[in-house]
Amino acid sequence: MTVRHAHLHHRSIFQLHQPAFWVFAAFLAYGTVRMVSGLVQLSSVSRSGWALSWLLLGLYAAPLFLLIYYLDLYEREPLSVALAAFLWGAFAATALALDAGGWDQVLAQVAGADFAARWAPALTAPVVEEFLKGAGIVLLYLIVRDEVDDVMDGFVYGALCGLGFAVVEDVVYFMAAFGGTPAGVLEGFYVRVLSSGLYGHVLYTGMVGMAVGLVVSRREPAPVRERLPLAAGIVMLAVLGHFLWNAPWLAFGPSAPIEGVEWLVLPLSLAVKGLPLLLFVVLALRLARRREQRWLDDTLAVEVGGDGLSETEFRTLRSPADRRAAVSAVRRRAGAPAAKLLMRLQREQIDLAMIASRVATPDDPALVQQRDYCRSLRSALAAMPGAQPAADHAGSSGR
Amino acid sequence: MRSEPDRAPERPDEASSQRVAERRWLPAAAVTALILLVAGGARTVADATASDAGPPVRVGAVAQIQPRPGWDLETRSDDPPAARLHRGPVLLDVFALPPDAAGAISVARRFVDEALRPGLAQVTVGEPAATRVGEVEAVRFGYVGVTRDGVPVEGVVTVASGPSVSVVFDAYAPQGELVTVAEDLRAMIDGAVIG
Repeated sequence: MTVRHAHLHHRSIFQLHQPAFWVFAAFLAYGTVRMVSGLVQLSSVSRSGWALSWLLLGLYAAPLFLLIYYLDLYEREPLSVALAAFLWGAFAATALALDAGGWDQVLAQVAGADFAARWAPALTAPVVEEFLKGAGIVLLYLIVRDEVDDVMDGFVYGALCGLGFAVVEDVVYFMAAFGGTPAGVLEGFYVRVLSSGLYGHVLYTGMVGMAVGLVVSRREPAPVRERLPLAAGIVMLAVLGHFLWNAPWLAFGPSAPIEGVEWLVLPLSLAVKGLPLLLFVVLALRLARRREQRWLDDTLAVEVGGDGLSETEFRTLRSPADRRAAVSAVRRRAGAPAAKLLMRLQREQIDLAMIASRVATPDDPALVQQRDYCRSLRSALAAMPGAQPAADHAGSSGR
Repeated sequence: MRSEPDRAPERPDEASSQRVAERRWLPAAAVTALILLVAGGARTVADATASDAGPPVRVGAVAQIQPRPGWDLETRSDDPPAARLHRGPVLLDVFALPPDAAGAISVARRFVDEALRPGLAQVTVGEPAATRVGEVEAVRFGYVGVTRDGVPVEGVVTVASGPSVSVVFDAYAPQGELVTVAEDLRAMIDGAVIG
């Protein structure tokens, strides 16, 4: 074990020394130029419809972004990496997916034009799009390896990537398939977002991200070769879900133009296609969360009561709600800098668990350093006027 | 006496001397190659397996179109005079109609009302713009719509109206596909011979 392994978290996306960063940046730049010019062209259909599209999708995407971002209870991902995942989906993956449209031509040459027109969205798009979005997650892993180290991390980055893809794809659909007028955009928003916004790319790419997280995780006791089949199964399930969504087989909902009671039938008919996968992912996330908590308990068991973590701090650390309450209390008593310091202490105590899970012995230099660092943070917090009582509430016993 | 109490101490591993660069070229190169294979390889495979340019396709007595490489004739009929070419999922329907004294715009309106609107579940038509097909005056407009299967499609219609014939070129494809063959379409339609 060397100090190198202790270089853990809170890194930004800008790892200029990593070749993967430049690959990521190059594809993202290409995609941004390509998609932005296309999106600007679409504004000529109807400027008001175009503006309304972005407004509505902003209202949908912003809370969903935050919801996904805060899913990981114990280890918040760096914001720059989370945004990079979103931008990869929005611009790089969408542009590359357009380039990959040639596979539809190959399908048409093999199976005929009519078959391709009907089935290409189901047969080629799921494979191509999930691959291209997943490639972005793999690149992120190569850029900031320690930020993608479990299933939950993978889901967060994957889902954000899928959300970016969905937003840009929805703008294109609103402007093209739904006519682009404000009325058409509203209809598109109802059909593609309100009725089916929970089932699409966010789920599929979240699952692909889970698979990436499972393979690269250093917390899993099983060797990589034993995790690969499960990861492959998760990716195949994501592709299958995407296939079923795009296939004309299950299109038993009302067809356009939608009128009267059909507006109510539409979400129900779409739920038949999308709800099973959504439930599966919710279940998988709950399991992943329980595993995270078990992992935290097991790993920190030997640290509780030591230099790095008091018993009270450990109890607070286990519950995200208690952590937030402790930070709020410190903020009220001692101001924002003290609250920030307590948040940092909590983050470093999570990192203490990370390091403890990676080293062979309890006296490993990296682990000792991290304990000392936590203690120094606690001392710095205790020295701040007004922080002490609240810090006590937060569990800082000033050992 | 405290010194800068609001600043957290530096992490042990944040010291620059402790950082170890992990430069890994091979995985980054492998991901790049796979992305290029999936995104760019599709076009290469499609072009490589595409058929050579076929012979000119005659539509009716006085219209003729030269397919570009990769375009295949799917159907052709003399009554009514029409032909369908395709490249991948992109279809180009060509119809020869009787001449219309009111010009191309009149033929275009009839095509929208009698063919496009009944054929699609939903359609939005753009404003026609004047153009030419060879020496013949023409109009061109785009449209987007949804088929009765629920597949979003986009299309471009070009209507040329000559003294002895009107010809309608209707190119359409699933959403996002038309742009990939825009150059072929322009060459075939603008180069069509209308007697």
